Amino acid sequence: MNGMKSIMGLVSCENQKIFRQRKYQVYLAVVALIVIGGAALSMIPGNILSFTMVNYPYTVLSMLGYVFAPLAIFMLSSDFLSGEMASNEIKVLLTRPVARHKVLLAKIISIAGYIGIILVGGFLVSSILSIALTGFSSFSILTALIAYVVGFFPLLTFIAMSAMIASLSKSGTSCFSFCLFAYLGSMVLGLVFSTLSPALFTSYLGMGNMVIGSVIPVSRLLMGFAILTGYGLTFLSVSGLKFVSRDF
Amino acid sequence: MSTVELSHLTKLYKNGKGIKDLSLNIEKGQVYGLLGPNGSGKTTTMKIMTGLIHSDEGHVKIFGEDPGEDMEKAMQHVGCLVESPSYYPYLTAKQNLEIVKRLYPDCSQASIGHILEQVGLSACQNEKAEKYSLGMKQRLGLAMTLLSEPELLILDEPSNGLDIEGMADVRGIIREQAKKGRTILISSHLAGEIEQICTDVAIIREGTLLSTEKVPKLLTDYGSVENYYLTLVNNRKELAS
Repeated sequence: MNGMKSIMGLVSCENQKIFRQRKYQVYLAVVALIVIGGAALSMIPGNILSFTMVNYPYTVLSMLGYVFAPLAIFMLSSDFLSGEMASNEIKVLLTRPVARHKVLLAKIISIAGYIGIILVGGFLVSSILSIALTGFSSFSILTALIAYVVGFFPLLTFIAMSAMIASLSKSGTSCFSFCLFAYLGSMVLGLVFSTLSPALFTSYLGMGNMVIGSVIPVSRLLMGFAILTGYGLTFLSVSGLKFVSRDF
Repeated sequence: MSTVELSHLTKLYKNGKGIKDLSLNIEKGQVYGLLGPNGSGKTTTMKIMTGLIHSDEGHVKIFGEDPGEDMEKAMQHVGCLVESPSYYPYLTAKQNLEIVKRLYPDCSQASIGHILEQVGLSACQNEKAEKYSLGMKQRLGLAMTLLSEPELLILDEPSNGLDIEGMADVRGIIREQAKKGRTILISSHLAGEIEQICTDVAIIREGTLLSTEKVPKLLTDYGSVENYYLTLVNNRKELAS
């Protein structure tokens, strides 16, 4: 198989594996229910989370970007990278006529695809609910769409980070724990040492919401893209080198 | 050109085990047995051949290609079952085979039904593999290996853990593949198994290749593969002492 064809074949294998697992079907349903539940909560005046339907797609983007998407990334990396390596399931692919770096790339693409589905679903459900409950005046669909597209970028860096941790981990559980530790550690570090914050990739998780205001902070946005790209490429290189050279 | 060419392969683990300076050529149509006790280096050899581990020294050529350099070309016509059958336990047998099929463009959907029939898993093709018995898992592993109709089969103790019937079935499948002219490398610690299936045998012990021989010739000279193996090992022990 040529390069692109073999990657597409591998991606379809990974997608089949992801969507055949009930856990990942349920996860999508739970996220959708939480988005709908949030809208229902906003109908209660003075609700404890102070949810309102004004700018609801942006609230949902923050929820997905900070909590549900990272959690899904960690779960997927643990199951389909380090978990498969620990259980030897990875041999199903590694003993076939495909290059190792393509196996890794296909897994990363599939995880990105799943996260893409979460974001697209979140955008559609929250937008529809927002329009249905408050009309078109509460937010701009185009701006929300751009915010979701921009918000996807830091999650790609997260996928690269979790792929790197998965390549270095010995089991799915340790991978998940290390991913969580890296995420929370970086967040805490950014909060405690605020001067470090611009250099930490976790500080850009909410990058999607930078495009909401009337004045878009272009330079901050560009710096965010540059930092995330730098981190992403570093994580990808380490995970690629480790995965290709690892003995199974 | 040999189908398989192993040249001065060395791979030593931290515990000192592994293989040392192992060279072996396998020609088209041979059913080659790699016979040795547990821990002798059979699986290590096969893992290097299939690109699962990297050798410290030496090189492998499969159909003239080095799997370490170009896995896609080297493994195009190879099917392997190394160490234990690999499959996705949360998928059914049919879904597992569909995953494999996607990696071979020439593989048809009909071949899945055919291979399931061949290994005797048709009746339970829609059950999740995690519910299978050890023998059924081994059959599934074989089915995933044979699906692409590979020219070269690398089978690491394929009857491991099987009952008498299961072992006979696996032997039958291997013989059928041999009749089709496939080249087969099969490892085992059972001399009787090698004797029944193979045309050639390589004896491996403590990571070193002791000897290679045609099975019919050693049967004439020694009566059985087991006698041949024991003679070789005893001679070596005498030399060492």
